[in-house]
Amino acid sequence: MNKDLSGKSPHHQEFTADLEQLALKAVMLTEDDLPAVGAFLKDLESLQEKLAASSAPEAADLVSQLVEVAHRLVLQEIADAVQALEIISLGVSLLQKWVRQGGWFRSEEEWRQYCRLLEEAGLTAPGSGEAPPEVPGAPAFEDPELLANFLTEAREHLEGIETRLIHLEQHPQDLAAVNAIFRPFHTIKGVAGFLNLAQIQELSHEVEFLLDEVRNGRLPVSSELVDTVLAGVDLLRAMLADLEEAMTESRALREFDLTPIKARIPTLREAASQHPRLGEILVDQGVVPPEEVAASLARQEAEYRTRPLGELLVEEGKAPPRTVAGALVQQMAAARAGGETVTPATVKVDLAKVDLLVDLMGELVIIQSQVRQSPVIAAATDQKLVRDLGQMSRITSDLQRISMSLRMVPIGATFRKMVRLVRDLSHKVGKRVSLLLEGEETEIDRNMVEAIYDPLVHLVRNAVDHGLETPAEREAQGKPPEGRLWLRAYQKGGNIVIEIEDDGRGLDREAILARARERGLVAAEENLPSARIDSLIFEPGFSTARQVSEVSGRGVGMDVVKQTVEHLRGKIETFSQPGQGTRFTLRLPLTLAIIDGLVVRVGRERYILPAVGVRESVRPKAEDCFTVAGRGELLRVREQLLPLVRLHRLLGTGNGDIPATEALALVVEQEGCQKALLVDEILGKQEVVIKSLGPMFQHIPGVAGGTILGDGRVGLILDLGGIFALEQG
Amino acid sequence: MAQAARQLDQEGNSLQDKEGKYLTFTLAGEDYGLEILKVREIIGMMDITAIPQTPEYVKGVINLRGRVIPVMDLRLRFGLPPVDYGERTCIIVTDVQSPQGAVQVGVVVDAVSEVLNVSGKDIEPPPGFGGRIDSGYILGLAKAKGAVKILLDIDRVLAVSELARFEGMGG
Repeated sequence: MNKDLSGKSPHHQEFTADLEQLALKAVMLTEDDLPAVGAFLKDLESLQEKLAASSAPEAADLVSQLVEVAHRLVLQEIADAVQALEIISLGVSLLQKWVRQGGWFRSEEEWRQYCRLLEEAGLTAPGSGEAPPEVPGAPAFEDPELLANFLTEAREHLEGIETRLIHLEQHPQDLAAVNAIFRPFHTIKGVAGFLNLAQIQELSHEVEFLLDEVRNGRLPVSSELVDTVLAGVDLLRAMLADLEEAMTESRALREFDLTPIKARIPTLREAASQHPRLGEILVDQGVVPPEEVAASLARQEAEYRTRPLGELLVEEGKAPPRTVAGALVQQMAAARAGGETVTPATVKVDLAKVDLLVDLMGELVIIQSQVRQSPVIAAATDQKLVRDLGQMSRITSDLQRISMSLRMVPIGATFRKMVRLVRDLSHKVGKRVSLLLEGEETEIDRNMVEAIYDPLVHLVRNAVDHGLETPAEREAQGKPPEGRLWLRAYQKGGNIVIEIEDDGRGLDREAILARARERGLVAAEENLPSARIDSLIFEPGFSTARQVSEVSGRGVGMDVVKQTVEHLRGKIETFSQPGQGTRFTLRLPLTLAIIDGLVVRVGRERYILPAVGVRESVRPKAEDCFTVAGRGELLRVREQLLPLVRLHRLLGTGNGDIPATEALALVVEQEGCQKALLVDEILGKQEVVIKSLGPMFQHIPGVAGGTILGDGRVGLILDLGGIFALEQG
Repeated sequence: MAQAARQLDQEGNSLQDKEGKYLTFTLAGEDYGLEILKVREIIGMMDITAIPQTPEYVKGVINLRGRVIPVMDLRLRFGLPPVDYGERTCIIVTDVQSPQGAVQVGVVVDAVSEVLNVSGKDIEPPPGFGGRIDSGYILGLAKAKGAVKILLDIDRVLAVSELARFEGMGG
């Protein structure tokens, strides 16, 4: 049943009138009056256009068929013109009937006659779509070998299809299975067409078409669908058996009745509530009242559906374009939901090659800056040279960025490993947990993915084991029995942020405080702000779990998590509300390979400080410098007294006693603790490629790594945490 | 008796194994040799970036065509008196075995002499100097051209584990 052109819509009458005109002309047509046939063809074509814009595929198919017949008639390609005219008048009358009844019944005599005539004229019935018109006749028996091959292959295909269909019924979302069923039908259709097995071709085309709809998300997988496809498989089997018999007995093929199965297809399509209508979405959103949408829809019908609803709504000022666009995106998303996601073409490359490429790119950037700093080049006045050099550096930095991005992978794979973990854990501890993943497509440095896996596992375990309550506890607190656990990833600024959040009981601050006092981390009477208490869980060997469970509370603790994150030059933060849940936020740098650095001179050496840690730089004044007991030095910055760290002495680069007033003080922050570092001067700020100093210098306190500076020398990247530790040690 | 013979034989064998080409160089008037297979290249003196909190003999790191490699001063490593680097001072880049795989390490020497073909019969086992000198990093002594060359086991000289000891050394 088609709702669009049937029924009592305003333009329904217009359509009926058009058809009446057409029917009249059809009766008047004579086989030798070519101009009249031409005019008729024109009318048909305009009708075809109108129908094409509507969603009445059956009627559109029929009209295209008629257009085809008329077209051939004009070109005098049809031998039996009288029969062609009969087809046309029958077709038009069918259309009229269709409009009157709001659909047709394919079993009707008139329809059958139409199909028969069409076939005789060398055309296929509507519904078989693009199947090329060819004369159905005896199959190509002259090549029995081909036919025998086809028989075996087709039977194998059908067997595979059957098992996959059963699987599909149980896993309706498995689009790969749909594809795996679609493809063999396509093959059967193709070969059958080649071998001139019209009925097999027709049937497999029908089923293939149906599956294509499923593939495109226009039809859901239902048991009716599976039944229909199975019926098609059975019928194809019967046809194949008949073909085999016909071959051995050298007789013509039996005619199979395809109508019952074909009749099931439109019902399936009807049953499938297609993706949400734009109007419905907008009404749901409360943007446009339902009656307004109805009015616009009526107008759309009156215009023969030549324009989409969204356009009309915007034109009539009923909805802002942005909202309509949003709703369209939503509509498309719904249509695509669970559908095949488009995966870009990829190549597998050895990681070592990528690393080498990144290394070489880094070198290229360095050598380029060396070239640019060369006195000869710097003194160059040639405009073209200067321009070309600028262009070259842009290209190299683009290249560097791209080569860096090669090492980036989506975090989704890591997240998905947690799905299984959460499932197993929650069963083990008798909790119900739903894991929600967000931002799976967020990209992260490949090397970092491996490094954060263990901390993530630890945090997820903790959340399931300690954070979330049992269903009974949750219900007692009026929470849904199923605990929720979010894993989120997103990019913010120059960081990748990963969040692990649960809606469980939150951190037990009393227990933490009690345990801290027990361990002497906090004085008995000391009162701490809650954030400070929360941070206690990162102390080494700290566990409030009353008993060590099988799941967590053993092995690595939160201190290791924190260490790992800091080792990656990241930060971890907690946010917890009693009874509401806990959230851990991991902030990690985008890549491990590059940092934004401040190049400073300390004595005869140059060092790089991570720019993120540096708050400001000040030129110390004599009245702001203080000494404590003649040794410890303090610097007053904005009414704050900060310990002064003499990097010259710490790093042994000479000039250890330079008066502070002749140097520059950099206010740096690490873990909420501020200090002033004394350096000679700031040489610049630049992105530096971090290079490992090799296994020999992996754990030099205060040194995070090296980089190659513009002049080709190695510069050391300082690690603020290590510097602070050195200073205190 | 037979056992002693076998032992002697083995010793001879192991010394035989040490036969081959050596790069010879001088350090404070003494001649040393490095297995040529361990030598990657010889470069002139270049700017070395010092690394804090490391022993004196660790000169620092250099940029060898984009790679950061450590450089040791062999004079200081062997406790010989330091000298100012001059025109003949070289860095020999060697391949050293470490638990993490082969790493390149540069060693600063006074001057590079030549590549010498040392036959097994000219190699004598390292003498025991008692506790005074650690002979563990000496492969053997080679008699050649009327002089004695000290053949170094560079893997041991620059043992990464040994170097890793300064890890955590306060400054």
